[in-house]
Amino acid sequence: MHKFKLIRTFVLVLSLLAIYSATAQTGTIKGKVIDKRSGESLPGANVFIEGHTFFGASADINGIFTIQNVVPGRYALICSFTGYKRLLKDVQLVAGQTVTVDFEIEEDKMMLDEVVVVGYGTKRKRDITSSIAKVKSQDIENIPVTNFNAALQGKAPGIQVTQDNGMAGGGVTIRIRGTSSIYASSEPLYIVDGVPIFTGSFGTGTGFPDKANVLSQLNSNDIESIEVLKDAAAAAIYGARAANGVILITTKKGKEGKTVFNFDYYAGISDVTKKLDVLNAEQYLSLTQEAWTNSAADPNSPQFGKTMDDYWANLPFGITKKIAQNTSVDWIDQSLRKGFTQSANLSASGGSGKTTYYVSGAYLDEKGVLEGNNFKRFSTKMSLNQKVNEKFQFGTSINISKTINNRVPTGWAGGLGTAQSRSLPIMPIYDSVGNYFGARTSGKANIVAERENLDYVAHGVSLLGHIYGEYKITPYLKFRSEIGTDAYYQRERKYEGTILYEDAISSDRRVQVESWNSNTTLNFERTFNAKHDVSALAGISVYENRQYEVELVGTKYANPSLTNPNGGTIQTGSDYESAYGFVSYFARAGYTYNNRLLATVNIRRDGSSRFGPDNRWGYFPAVSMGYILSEERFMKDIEWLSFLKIRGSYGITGNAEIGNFRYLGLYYTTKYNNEPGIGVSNLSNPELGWEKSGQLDIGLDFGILDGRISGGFDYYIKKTSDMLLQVNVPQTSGSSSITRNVGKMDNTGVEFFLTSNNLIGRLKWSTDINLSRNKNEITDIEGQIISGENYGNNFAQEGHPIGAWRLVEYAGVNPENGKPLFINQLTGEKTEEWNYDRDAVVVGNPYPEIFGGVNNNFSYQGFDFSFLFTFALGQDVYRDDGKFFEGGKIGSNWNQMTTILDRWQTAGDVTDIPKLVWEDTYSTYNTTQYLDDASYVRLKNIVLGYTLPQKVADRLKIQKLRIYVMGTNMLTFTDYKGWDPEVNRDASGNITQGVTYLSPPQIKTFQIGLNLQF
Amino acid sequence: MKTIYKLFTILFIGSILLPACEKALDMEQKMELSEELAFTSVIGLQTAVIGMYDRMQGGDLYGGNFQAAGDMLGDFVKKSGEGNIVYEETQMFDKNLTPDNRISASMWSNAYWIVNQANVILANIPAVTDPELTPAIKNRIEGECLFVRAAITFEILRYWGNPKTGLGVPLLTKPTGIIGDDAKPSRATIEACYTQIIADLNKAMDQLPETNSQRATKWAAAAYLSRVYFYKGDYPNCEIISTSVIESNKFDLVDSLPLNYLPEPGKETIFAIMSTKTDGSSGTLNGYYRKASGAKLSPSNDILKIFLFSGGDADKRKSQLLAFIGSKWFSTKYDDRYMSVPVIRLAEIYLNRAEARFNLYPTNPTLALADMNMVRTKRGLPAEMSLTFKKLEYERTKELYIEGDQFHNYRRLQKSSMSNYNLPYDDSRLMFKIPQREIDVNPNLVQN
Repeated sequence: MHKFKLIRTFVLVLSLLAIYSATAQTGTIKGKVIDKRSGESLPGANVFIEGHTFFGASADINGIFTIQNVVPGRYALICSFTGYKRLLKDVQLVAGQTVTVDFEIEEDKMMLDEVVVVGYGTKRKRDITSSIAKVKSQDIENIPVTNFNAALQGKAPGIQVTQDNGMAGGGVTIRIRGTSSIYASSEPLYIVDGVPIFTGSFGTGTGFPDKANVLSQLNSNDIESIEVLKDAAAAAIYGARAANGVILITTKKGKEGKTVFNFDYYAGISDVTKKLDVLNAEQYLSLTQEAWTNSAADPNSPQFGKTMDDYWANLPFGITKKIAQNTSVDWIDQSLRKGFTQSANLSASGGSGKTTYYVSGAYLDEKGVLEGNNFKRFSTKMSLNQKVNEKFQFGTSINISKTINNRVPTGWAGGLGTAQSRSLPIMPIYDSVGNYFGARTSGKANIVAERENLDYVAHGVSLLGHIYGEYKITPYLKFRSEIGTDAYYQRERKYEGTILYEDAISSDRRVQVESWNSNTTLNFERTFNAKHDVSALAGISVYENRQYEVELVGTKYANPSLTNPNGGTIQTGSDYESAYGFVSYFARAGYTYNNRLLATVNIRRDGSSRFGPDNRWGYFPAVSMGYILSEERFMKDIEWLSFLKIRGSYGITGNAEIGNFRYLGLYYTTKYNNEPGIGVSNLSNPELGWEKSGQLDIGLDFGILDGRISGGFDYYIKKTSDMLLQVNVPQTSGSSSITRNVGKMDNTGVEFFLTSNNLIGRLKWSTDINLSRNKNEITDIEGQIISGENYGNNFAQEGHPIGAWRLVEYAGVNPENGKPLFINQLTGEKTEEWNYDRDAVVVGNPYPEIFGGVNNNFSYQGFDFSFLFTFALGQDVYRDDGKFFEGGKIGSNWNQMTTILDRWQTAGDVTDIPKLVWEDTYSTYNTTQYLDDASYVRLKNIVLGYTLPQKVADRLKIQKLRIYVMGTNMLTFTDYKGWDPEVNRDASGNITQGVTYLSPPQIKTFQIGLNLQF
Repeated sequence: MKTIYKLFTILFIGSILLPACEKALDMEQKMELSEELAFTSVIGLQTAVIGMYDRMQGGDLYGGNFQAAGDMLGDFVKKSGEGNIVYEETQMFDKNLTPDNRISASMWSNAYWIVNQANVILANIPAVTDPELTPAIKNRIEGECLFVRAAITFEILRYWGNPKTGLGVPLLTKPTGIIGDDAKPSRATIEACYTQIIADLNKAMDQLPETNSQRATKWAAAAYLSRVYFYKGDYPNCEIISTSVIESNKFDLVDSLPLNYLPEPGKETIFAIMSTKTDGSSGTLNGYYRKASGAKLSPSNDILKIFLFSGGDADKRKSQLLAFIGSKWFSTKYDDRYMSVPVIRLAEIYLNRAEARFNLYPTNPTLALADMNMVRTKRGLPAEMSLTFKKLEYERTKELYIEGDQFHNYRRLQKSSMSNYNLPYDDSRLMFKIPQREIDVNPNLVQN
């Protein structure tokens, strides 16, 4: 048990520090709180004895407070009020006396005394020495996204948010300070009220919006604040799971006072941001005929010498000449519709004396822009806190939600993906007798039939909650224990009928994920002589996650009305189970000298069932320091500079998202001809461990002109080492690779943010700007060139950013003969010869060079107006479908983009689109022709609101009523040629990013809503 | 001092809870078997044997591309225009195989996975002390491993073997591990590969029983040996071993050809990859050839000419196994979705022996003619009166159509009649490339 020694000693020291004695006689503290500038009294300001919030009072209507029955002694008396700087005064109280202490407090434009949630505790913003971004509830409420994290886009620096597509229930990709892994996850750790929650998709079937993250279970209206721990100093308290950053979500709690009801409602319509132009029937016939004629004249073509009659005979799926000439279907229109979203949220919060509560119920109904795609969520939250006495309090918070997601295939799998490609405009929806045309013979090209044939719905129920007890051993030493759970149950029903297949097939899949977590901490906080702020924390955390899946599949139904798998004459079933756990010990100590010198050290020791027995435990230390220069006398003379803090930190965090049981040598089980079999699936590696990231952060926070302008700057270097690599071994050994911790990757970047209160009179105008730049470079992967998780030609290779492409440089079309030209990398000359091995070069970057947001807020009397621009500059998107539908698959039953109308036709034509050739091998060439600069600037959000004047509200017996209209994604400025530059294909990963393959587009929405408080 | 007591109470409770907490680190893998438990008993060995067959069933091997890759490289299929032809398949049609071709790469890795599993089983047998491991069972397990190792090595030898350089494929007869020099084998010569394959099959034939619940038998090993001798051009041995298979009287040519392509192997099938309704072998082949599954491939004009003009409808191989659907011809050999895929059939043994005899006894074609006519008459055609090589070749082409023979057979005959390209049989464009990742990790491998 030697490992506890350090912690025990630490705890003992803490407790000795905290001992103080008490006597029976009491005294009274009273005084007045006023605004330093205006001299007006401040009703509602809180005054309390440090460490004894029970001994506190709120200022009355005249700003007067009285604290009675105080045990005599020397105290630090604190005055705090939202929007004002905290003020601390030393008080000496003698038994039986009344001491008067008045407070003149200053407005705090920079919100330096705002409480920021850090791991296992809170800190005031001014005391923070690491890099943490905070986003408050009002910034993410009422934005029509199913995943709350999508609303973080453009709100804070260093956090790159990409909505994969605009589907109802679609996924979100988040990167905090870049991607730092190849085979482990790059998603941040999410923690809700202290409980780590699992993320990811539990859906089957690629091509479906399977990234529908369980995060969509959370109602963003229940969130009070989101803190993003970006640097290692902030995140290292979460040790082995923190290398991708940590997102701390604090949900709403009740506030003392009479019951306040909040009702929020909005309704909105949505549409795609842009519709892709593909050929209509007339253009399709004319261009395919041109390709046919071109090939028929080419002695090297299999079409050589063929006639127009052959062309008509060659039409697919039984389309005849007559049908082709009399049909014109816009299949994209067949798969799209106008979306409609409604959301209603009702909450009640309040509390009297010792009990506070928050209760909410919400309903979200999103009808997506893709036919058949819907998402519904019902959710409720209950939070209850009870103060038993000055020392003991307990509470609970429970979120329960149910989602219903109707899924539709996309991308290569069907739906809109097929509509823009294999659904030919010359193919009718119905045949002459009213049946679906080519339902079984066209390979799902008839997407209307496909949709009719499919019924695919996922029901999810999630349960997230915790209970806690908190006991003050001394006024400065707090013991807290909490147990939380995060559980998710999913039932996925899929039925594919006989419109498309000979035999209907149905599946029923159940997923059950259960996790529990306990955190036990001792927290010490005390100010000595009003100069030395000391804080310390020690704790233990345990986490367990178990996942179970069962799937039943049935086919060949006894009767078409019985579509459960049980009704099938052939049934198969399978199950899956996995589990992992973490045990962690952690400690943190902080010291602040005289409000200006700040230091924090923390360490975490993590063990995980995922690591090999030889490497089961790891240490994750961090240290950070800050210096508030503006507190120094020599800086006080600089009038315009109201606040200046420099800070620096270094720490080590880990990435343990390496999969379960990967260190074990394993044999899988299988069967052949009804007999059981086994085979090697994984080679053992008892040394397997976490990936490690060392991160240095240097930052600066400032306030100018009494805080009217404030901002900050961060520079970081994050070096990931021991990165998991599938190290290739000769396959003649029977294995392909072994997972080892050997790779290295760097992320370096700068972040900048600025808040400016441009106008502060009756017309208020403020501007928030944030900018981030991250540079990723793979420094060591043992010389391997690792291809992406999916098609798209992204690679990981040394000396380049992860996900850079390897493509042949396209050099346009030879004006003489219309053939495509490429750059021969040996000679640098243009060539018609295709040689990928010789000519492929590393190009592009799927991640933006600079991204961020600019938000402007205006308010005048009851009106508020704001608009947010987000941007991502210097990013590329590879249109992996481009090679098919910009000429490549013209003879292969693919519709084409209208860009091919500019094809080469006669000698001398200068264009980028080659001569049309039937079934051209050109369709397999990955070139820079399809690598687009996908930089964009987008009007992400624009809101106009009106709040009823207080007098009218009072007359209506309500507290507040605001109505608003909001638009999202209303404008997009980009040169990107595809649907929308913000895109990720269905199976993206760490390497495969910035790739689209018939992927669904983003949506724009317009909504009206109201916020009512009564 | 009250505080101290409280603190110690909490620490005390904590120290009781802690050991319980660390249980979170002891998670058990319940989906897969840990390697320590894999080879301790007969069950371990036996299930590992089944594991080999399971891999052989895969779409990259006997469940698809052992047959279809050769077809796409060969003369007798074309893109049907129905199913979507992927990049890797296009390369085969274009005779432009690259080292990153995923079909050949995956054939390579799966083949060696099986060879390794066979070697692991063979290496572990001596250490198993289970009393249930009787000599009969031990012989049978060894025999199956040798058979599988030989058959797989032979199939990949035909795709990667380079007649120009004489290089075959790496020959592995024991587990190599992943580090050390033996993990980086060179390519053995084609000659050495034949020697090893023949030795394995001979030993397998000795050790395997005559029946073995639809897995490898003595006769499966003998039949494969017939194929191997035939391809090696060792006609005397080919004749001998073919005769022993034919005279075993275990197999009969069927009258109704679709019987060869059903879930239950036909009477003439000597070895097949089995399907059950929940564990099919033929999905990949269905995708290539079955019209209702969106057949990617359909018979080329060249083979249609042979079928239509050499025999016509009287030939059951046309009337029973080809169908004109819509506006195109399709083969119906792989039309059953739960069919067992025939790997070697008695008809092939007759045709092997026919050609062996044709070569052995050039002046006396009677025996060869009898073998060929045995097949012809069973397929509904009149017996031939005279024999030419062309006739033998047509019979073989029609009989083994899309069963993984034609492409290799043309190269065996050193014919250069590949459609549209006229590449000589030893042109490296007709050979699979060694996967680039293999060359990267094993510098001893020489590319084709």
